Amino acid sequence: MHKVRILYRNELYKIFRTRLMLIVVAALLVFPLLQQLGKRQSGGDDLHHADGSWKLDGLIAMYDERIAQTLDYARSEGEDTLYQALEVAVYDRTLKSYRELAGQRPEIAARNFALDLVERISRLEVWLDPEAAGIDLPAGLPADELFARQQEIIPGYFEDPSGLPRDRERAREQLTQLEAALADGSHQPYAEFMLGVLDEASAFGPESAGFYAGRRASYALLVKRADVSANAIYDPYYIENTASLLQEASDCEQSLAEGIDYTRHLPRALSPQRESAVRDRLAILRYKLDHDLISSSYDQNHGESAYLGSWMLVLFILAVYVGIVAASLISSEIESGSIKLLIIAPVKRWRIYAAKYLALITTIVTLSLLAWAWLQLLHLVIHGTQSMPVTVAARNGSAYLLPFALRNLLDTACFALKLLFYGSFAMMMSGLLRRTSVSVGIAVGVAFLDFMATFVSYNLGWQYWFQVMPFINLDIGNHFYPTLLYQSMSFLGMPPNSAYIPLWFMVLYVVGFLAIFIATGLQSLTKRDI
Amino acid sequence: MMENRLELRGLTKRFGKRIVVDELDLDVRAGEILGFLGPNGAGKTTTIKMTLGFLFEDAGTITIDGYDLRKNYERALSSVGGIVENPEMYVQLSGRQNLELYARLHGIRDRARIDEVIRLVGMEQRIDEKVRKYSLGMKQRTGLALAIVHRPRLLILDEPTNGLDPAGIRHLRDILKRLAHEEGVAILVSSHLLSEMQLMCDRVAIIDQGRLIAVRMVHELETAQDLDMLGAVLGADGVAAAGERDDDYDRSLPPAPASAPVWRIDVARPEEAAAALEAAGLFRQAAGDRVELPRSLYLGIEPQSMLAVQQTLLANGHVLLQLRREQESLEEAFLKLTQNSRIE
Repeated sequence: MHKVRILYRNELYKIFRTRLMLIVVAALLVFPLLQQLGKRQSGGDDLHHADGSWKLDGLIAMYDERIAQTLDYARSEGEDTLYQALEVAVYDRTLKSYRELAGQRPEIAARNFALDLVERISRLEVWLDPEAAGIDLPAGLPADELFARQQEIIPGYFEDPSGLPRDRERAREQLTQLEAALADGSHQPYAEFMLGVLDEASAFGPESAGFYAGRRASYALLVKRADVSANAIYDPYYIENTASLLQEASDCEQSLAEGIDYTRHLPRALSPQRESAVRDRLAILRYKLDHDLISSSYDQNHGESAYLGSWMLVLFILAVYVGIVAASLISSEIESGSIKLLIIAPVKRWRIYAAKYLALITTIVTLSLLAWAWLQLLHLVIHGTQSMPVTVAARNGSAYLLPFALRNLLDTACFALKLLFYGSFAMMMSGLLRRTSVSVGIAVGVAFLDFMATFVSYNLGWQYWFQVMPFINLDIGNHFYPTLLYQSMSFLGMPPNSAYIPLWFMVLYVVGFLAIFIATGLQSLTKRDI
Repeated sequence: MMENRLELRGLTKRFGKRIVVDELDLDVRAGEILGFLGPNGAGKTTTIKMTLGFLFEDAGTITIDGYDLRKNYERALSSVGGIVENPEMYVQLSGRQNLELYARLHGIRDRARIDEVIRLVGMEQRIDEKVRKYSLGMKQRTGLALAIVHRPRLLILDEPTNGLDPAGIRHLRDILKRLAHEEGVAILVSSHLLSEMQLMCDRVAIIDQGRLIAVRMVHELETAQDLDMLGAVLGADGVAAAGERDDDYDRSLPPAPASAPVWRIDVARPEEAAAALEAAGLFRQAAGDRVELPRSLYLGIEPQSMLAVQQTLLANGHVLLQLRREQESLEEAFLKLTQNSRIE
């Protein structure tokens, strides 16, 4: 091992004392800094203040624009039919009422249910009194029969129990309820109203019940909750996000109860390993719902979202750098002839390979740790501790919290493993081809393909043949905690396939390919002429 | 009988179907400098590369200092120092860092020894500069320091005089002679500077097309051909063989058959004499390097043409101050032995 140590030090010296390393370290320090400063200087976004709190005027402007566009669209469709005339009148009234509300009670108008509430009221008012809205009803259609004859009026009508009620009396009741809810301005009256509407919907059969189950559960949760978070009040997607968590939780519960995995596109029998994964997932979902930790899709400049951009930059820089270094480890020495110095020395060739491989590992670990530490420091200094959210993880069916820095460290470790996998491949190519330019080209090309393939594989859904390709699905950490990759991809509605690949398979896969890469690389150096 | 530091037995190497080294047997003894001669492509470097572990032999054995290279790889190589083709080292490191790395791989941590070899090769001034800045000559000197820093019992140098200035070549020669004759190191040197070989080596091994043709003491080679003063000569074949060679004779003049004997003719006005001979179609510049003397012409010409040469000179008013046949040099002997070779 003494000779390996000498060679290892030499390799480290060669890797670290280069201009390329200086450039990479500078890039690792400067790019995330600029990126984070940019986030900071923008002072949040249209909907957020720099400290992450919601901008009420931004939200109002967004809703105002939304309803104005809807009105424009309705007008552009024309007012030839009764339905079209009613729609234009509804949105016209909605826009006016919303602007009035925003002028008088902006703190209410900015809430995530306000526009929906105003629109429902406007719709009921127009349908209850169309003449007041300036609509001439066709001959033979009395105003009091409008609700009963929805089917004739609305083109392509399907019975939507969550929409308009079916008789005038019920409509009047609803209007009273909604006006009271608006006057109150808080969550609960509106949530209660929606719960009632959705309960009625459920009465139309199991299909509707399933369709509305998530939203219904969301409102039920809100009704029960006296004090709600700022997200629950202002996040425009709160109900949908909560609904999807509730839906997922319900799928998990059903899977555990029936022993069938409903969490996948095609239900199948629940394996013991999958069962424990589902149990853990359920624990995470319950914890998030209980503690109102529903993340917002708009929160671009805080917490994980702010971190994610820098993290992606780091991944990119490190992947390209490791590709270049690993793919030239053997070939550059053969091309420059410097390998002769080592071959003439009384050193078996496997020792040369071992020293290079150890140096590669050291480089990956050092740079990964450097990048991790720098990103934590940057995030702390620029965004403060409040912007470092904890991650909910679960083990053996019980949830626990992972601090921001620790979760990121685990992510870094997973990524370092991926870099090693990829670096081993690049080193193998370096040994096989003995041409630095070609092997670097292949290694960096594979890195790009890998990123692309990762996304393509998510979009393809559950194509198992694709998942066993090299380089994809090394998100082993996801079996132990929700990785950043998993969280961000889930957010986009594309939960990574890694969640469905058994751990034993992933470990076997990584170890197997690593062994192939290392053995082939070793052979290329030790069994061939130089 | 001196001990063999290097024993090659039945050494064979193929590149594809081509046999580059063909059942080669060779010994290098302690205390001698063995010149390894052969035209380009003869298999010299391939043999050296197998001996130093770069190439895997297809057959045969390599025994270094009593250790079989394949069975006792590190032990065998620990007693060898060498330079293959060009001295290669890490250009991003200084000469000293390269030396320290290499010495450590040999288990040597003695800085005094490193300083000693640096002084020995005359690199004290520049050894701490990056190798990237070195000239070829400086690399050769550093390469030699690398090759001897661990006091090897066998030294293998492939073209070690490449890039060295005349003083450097002389210095290298002195170092090698001292290592061999005073310290008993066995040295194998290949070089294309044949005159160097004559001055440096004790024995020469001549290899052609992968086969060992002859092993001679240097002085044997220098005199053997005297016995063959008027021996049969090769015409066209010999010319072709010489034409393939990358040596530094003057191509502006018609080359002599490499196998033709060389005649020295001293006249008062050699340029005019050469012009007269050229006009008569008798001028053939002798092959190889020669000392230019003010009154001498060197002709490489068949003995049967010498009468015509003398007659032409006399007819043109040149008095022959001296006419003699030159002793055949090692170069000529070498070319004769490998005359059928082609670069492959």
